[in-house]
Amino acid sequence: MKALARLLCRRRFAALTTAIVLLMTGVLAVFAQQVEHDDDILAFLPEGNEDVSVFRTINERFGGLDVALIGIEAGDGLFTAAFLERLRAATEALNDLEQVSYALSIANLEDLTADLEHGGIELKTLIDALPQNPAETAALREKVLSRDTARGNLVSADGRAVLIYCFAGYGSDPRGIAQQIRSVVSEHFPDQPTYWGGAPFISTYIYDTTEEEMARLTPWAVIAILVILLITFRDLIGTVLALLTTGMGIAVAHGLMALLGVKFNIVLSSMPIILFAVGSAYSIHILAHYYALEPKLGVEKAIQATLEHLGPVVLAAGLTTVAGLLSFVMMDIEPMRTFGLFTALGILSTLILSITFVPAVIRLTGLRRKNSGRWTISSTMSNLAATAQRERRWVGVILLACGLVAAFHAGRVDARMDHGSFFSSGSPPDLAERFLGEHFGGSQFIQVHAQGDLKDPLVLRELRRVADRLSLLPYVTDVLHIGDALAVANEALEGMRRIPDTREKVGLLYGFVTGNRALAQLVDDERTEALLQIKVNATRADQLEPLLEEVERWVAAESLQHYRRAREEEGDSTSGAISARRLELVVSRISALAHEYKVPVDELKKQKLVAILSQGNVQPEAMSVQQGLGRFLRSNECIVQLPDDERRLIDTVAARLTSLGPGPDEFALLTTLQGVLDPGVLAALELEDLAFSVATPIQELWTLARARAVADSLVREGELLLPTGPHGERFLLRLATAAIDLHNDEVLLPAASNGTASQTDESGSGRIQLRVNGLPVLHRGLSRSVTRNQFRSLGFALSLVLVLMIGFFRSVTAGCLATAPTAVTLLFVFGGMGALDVHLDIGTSMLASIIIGAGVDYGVHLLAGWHSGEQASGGPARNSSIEAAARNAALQTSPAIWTNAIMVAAGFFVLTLGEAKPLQNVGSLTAAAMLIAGAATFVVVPVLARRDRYTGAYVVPRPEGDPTLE
Amino acid sequence: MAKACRPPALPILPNLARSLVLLLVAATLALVVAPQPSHAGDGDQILATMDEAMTRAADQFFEYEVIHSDPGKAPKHMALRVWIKGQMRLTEFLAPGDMKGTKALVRSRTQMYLYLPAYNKIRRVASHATKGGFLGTTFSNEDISTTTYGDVYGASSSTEQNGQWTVEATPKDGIKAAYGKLIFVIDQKLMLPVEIRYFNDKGQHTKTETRTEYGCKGAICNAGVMRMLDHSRNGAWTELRKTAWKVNTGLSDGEFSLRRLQP
Repeated sequence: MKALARLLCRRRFAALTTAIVLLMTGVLAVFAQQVEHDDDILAFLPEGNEDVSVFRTINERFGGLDVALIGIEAGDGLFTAAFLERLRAATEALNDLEQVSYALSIANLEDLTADLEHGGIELKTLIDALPQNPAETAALREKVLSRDTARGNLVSADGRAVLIYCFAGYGSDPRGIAQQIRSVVSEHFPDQPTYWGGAPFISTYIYDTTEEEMARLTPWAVIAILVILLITFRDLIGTVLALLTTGMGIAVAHGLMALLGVKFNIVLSSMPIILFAVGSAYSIHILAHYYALEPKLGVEKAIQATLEHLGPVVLAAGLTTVAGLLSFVMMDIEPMRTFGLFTALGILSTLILSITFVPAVIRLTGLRRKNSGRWTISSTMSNLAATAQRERRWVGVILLACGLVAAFHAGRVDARMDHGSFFSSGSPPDLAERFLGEHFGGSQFIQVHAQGDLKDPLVLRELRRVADRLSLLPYVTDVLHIGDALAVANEALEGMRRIPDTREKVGLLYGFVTGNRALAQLVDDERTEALLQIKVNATRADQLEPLLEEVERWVAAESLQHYRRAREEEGDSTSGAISARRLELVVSRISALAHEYKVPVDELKKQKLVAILSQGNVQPEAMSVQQGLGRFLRSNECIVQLPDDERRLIDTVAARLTSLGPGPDEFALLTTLQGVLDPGVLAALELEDLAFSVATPIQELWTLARARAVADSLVREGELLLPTGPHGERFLLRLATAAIDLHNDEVLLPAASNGTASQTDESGSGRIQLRVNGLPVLHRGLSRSVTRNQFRSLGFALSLVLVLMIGFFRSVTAGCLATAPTAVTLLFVFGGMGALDVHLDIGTSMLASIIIGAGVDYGVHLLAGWHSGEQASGGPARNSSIEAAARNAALQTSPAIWTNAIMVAAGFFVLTLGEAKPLQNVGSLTAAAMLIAGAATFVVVPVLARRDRYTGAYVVPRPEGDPTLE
Repeated sequence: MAKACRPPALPILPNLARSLVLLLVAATLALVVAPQPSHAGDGDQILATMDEAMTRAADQFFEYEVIHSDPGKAPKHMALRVWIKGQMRLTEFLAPGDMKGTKALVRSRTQMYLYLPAYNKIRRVASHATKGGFLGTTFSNEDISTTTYGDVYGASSSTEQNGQWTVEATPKDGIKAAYGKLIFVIDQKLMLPVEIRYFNDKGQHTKTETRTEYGCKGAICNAGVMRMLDHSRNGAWTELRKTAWKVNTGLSDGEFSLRRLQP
């Protein structure tokens, strides 16, 4: 340092240093403009976490992060022609966007209905004509709200709000797509309250808000720092020089990022404030000391003395900050590592500039302070430190008591990642969450990832059992799964909303639903992986995590992981187990349906329903079969058209065919038709065609009639309270459909582990692998990662700082002493977090390292100035001597320490004035921490110090005549 | 941050029937017919000549291989056979395996009968939805059910260059069409389209269909490859490659009866 000081005192070397620094910084500043931004939200997911890696894989496979949700509050006017026309236009415009692969709303939702007049099914858009009068509006409202596909998904149950789904195209940019969608929807609905949910909007909000807030608040933070500097420093040129070195540090860090091809991330946007607040301190210390010495020693000697005496202290203090920031490299989140590394580089740059560039500029300009003021804080701190030393026992006890209280509360601090960590109450994403919760049953999803033979109807039924069971858990409002989607498709083909019976039917339905973006989120193209999407109306971690544990517990304990197919055959010893399993499936289904339709079924009633289902002696109504068959024979779906003459031939044919009972063979059908139809009515070929045509409908009608009879008896004998109107009728139909499964021949029974094959093998054995995932799991993984990172970075930073301090002071005791105020500060800050219920998240997990980095400076400076003014005796110091040392140290260092503490606090406090929640948390806690660290330094060190000098060779002489230090 | 990751609520769509309209696709494929050199400079006349050339055969039979590609996903393959006579079309799926044996009989633009081997039944499907796609392909129901253009679109301009007509057409007054504008590039020799560009109501170019590798049997010509590129789906495309083709085989109307659907 001496050599450097001597060199910098030479004018030529100072000029050369200044030129080189300006040139290098200028070049790097040019490169800094080219640094690329990385908006990848997934980059923040911790590496090596199994849940996170599964989450990544699942989202890549099923595209869960690609859906934007737009809620629109329409009020009473939702079903008017004016609103629906705008909705239709908006949906069309969204579908025309390049980055949107598909947009869906009630305006383009297609609707399948039975064609009662001609038979078969009719496909139209749900809203095929706009209502022209109040009666049509009311009819349309009733129609739309009667559709399970629309109600609660695309239109709220109260008919006052709609939701538009926008599925992003492959590789689309979330920011771009969010902007385009917002523009289209705002254009069509300029007056309606609109809500922007889904990953593209939320990630864009978090990024944009943080970046905008940083861009908006950073100048204010710099102004705050500048004002504080000017007030305390009272020297414009010196202040500008200090800030210039910080700006150069930022340019160096950004320039190096560009040169190394490292992308700028959202956390790095806080680098300027950290550098301005923390990094400017080094130049300030140098300048302050220089100003104090210059009037007496002149420029050159003052520079030399400053660098010799203060240089090592500044270097040590700066290196602790660098160490604190470098501790981020221990984290398992890549953007955080980048942040730590390059912010540390920025700090290192300002540190180096403070002992090279600043003295060089001073030398070239002959910098002098024109006037100076007096500090009252010096005497206050001096008295505080002296008192703390003198009354060290009492103060120690108080500190210990406070520490214990803080430790108690600090122990309650936990990592909790939920939406509250990222946006404030009342922010657009928060409003969207509330809107989705209120009108559409929530916006959070727990996913159960299933691997197995998803073309096997029995495997699909097992998945449905899982879904049915999970749908009963608290906060769960819906469980979506591929089995349900196939059941809807099956209803179009055989009139029953149930998972089809055969593998062939399942395969055919898969063929028909291929390419549907909504369904692509439920099953993969190979039909070996599926997702159960559990919709949850809860957003807080304390609600979600217990639910998550319950889901995981149930999936692990109750689901069928290894199975064997079992068919009921006479004399089979497993028939009891088969019946029990079949009954369990049906009861699960009925319980879930009752829950969905809000039909109360308590445990007692459930037992009753089980008893009714077990009887199995319900007689179906033949008349309903006969009527259904009559309708079929008259419809265009029947291959052969019978003459419906006065003899009511069709009714007769229907009655005779019905009398054959369920499942008549082809021969029985032919002979019956021959018996009932006069010769000549139909040709032989036509008779065969008719027999073919009626065979399947007869079977389906009997199945439905039998199931309907079971449903009627469940309602009647089980005393179920049905909802009124079409909703009740729908429930009854679905109850009947559920009851059909009572007659399935085959079920899956638990089996011993049979390896890892997920396809059903020839022996009928197979495996279903279920794994709980989704955003709540990811949040939990992030929470664990944050906790782990906190310990890692804290341990790393403390160890490194301690080593640096011990090396600097050449004393373990002094090293520990310099670090002690920071340790106490950490304890108090974490205690405060625990008491105020502030949780650790990615933002707050940065605190510890920043506090260590910035806070240890104060201990270093205080100990560097720690001397009694007497000659060292070599033996234990007298109490009066230690008190004098405390007084001297505080007198000498308190202005710089408090200037820096207030400066850092002010810089970070400005961040709390914005909307971005992560910045608010980090800003307020860091500001508080710096003030605590400042105060703790003047209490903790005097309480613990047992010597009157710690700095060895590096005694910093108190500059005489320096008014700033009086 | 990562918390934004949120899967959506998924409306379980009755998309089966929409997908069923896929079966119309093959039926439409054969509507590209014989060369009829025309010297008409007027756009409407060119369209009329093109329509006439596309609908000239008495009956036709095709086999097609269908390839669909979505960015980031493996291509999907299908295969089908199509018999066409007038407005009637019968389509049979040969692949994928799950759909093999499925047949569709189209008697009008909105009336279809399906034979579903897995269900052993015939199902009537009346469809009035025209804008949706099917089976994730880039052809919409409207695209595949359009056999002639002159009745819906009127030419607004036409130019001649390099042996091709370029005709810009917009929907005629009072007719509701799926597109705001079409631009046909028509081979002057064949009088059949080699490219059709589709524009939405706002004038955005949304899709481009190319018809290449024309082959002729007598006076009837037909594209060997039809490819629809969807610009609004990140470049997803569907290609239909003709693998077999017969014309004027003398199909009777009975071949298009419901009974023809059953095995």
